Amino acid sequence: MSNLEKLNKVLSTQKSTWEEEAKWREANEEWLSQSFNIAVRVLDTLKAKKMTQKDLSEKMKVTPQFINKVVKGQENLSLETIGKLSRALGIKLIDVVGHETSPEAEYDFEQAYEVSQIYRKQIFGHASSKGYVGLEACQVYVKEQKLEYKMPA
Amino acid sequence: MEIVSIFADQLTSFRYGNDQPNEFSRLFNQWQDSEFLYDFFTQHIDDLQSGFFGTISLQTAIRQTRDEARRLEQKLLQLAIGKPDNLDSIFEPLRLEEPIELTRSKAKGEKPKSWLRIYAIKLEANVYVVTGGTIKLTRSMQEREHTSLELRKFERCKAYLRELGISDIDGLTELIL
Repeated sequence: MSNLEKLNKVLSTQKSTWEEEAKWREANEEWLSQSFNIAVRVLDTLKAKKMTQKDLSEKMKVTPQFINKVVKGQENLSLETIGKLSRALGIKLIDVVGHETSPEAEYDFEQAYEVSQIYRKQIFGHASSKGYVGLEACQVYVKEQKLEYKMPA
Repeated sequence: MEIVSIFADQLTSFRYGNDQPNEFSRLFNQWQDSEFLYDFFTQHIDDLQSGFFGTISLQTAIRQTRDEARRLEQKLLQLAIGKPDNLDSIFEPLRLEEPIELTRSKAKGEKPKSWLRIYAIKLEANVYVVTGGTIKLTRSMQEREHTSLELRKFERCKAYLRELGISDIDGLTELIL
């Protein structure tokens, strides 16, 4: 008896649902991708503001379970929910192409982190390379120097 | 502990507990879960920024992982739908240590290999059983607990297969994008 035949004898009667899930993810990629990007931004902001998911849920008057779905990037968010998230976190989460943003909106945490990766040595010398050290200082530096930094694709 | 079919009975996967997903599904769920990736890369930020894969920010690493997981999933989906007999073309024998060439090719400006890994035991031509997988940020598997764990899972699975009378198997293989 071959290994394949032996394997077929012991295979679970319950087949994996991966194929259906993968097809579903492919069909819903547009909004899943947006939801994922928003989730990363929310997680970044929670960390930077030292807020928990529970804090956010209380501020938005929703359940912690809902916030957990949001930060997993699997929730099909309505514009209303995105608006509530933006207000609760004090950040801009979506932008419409062609819409002019204020200079402040361009210097968000994520962008400042990327900038800090490049200018860290110039600014801090021996500062730690970990995490978000000196983000605010980076933002101030970038503004003062009027640096233009394009986010990588 | 049991083995479930992923597709065409040629790609199968271990499931370690009744309340757990099979390993193959677990990987694709985790690699597209922003919270899981955020926590993982925060925990392994030193490895991420050690220079082995260049200097990458947490946010870029998270997005890159999702993008690569998607590409890998698409590739496997194509195989599942059309050509399951091509599994041998995507799995290769496990390397406990990444070659130095990985760094060299990066220096030449070539795209480095992905850090996503799916580990599987080859039972015969184009027949694999997935034992696990992970995000590998270091050169060797023994360097970190989460990669060492994958080697221990392999030993456990090999013993399980032997108990079922499935022997004469190849060693551990890995799928890298």
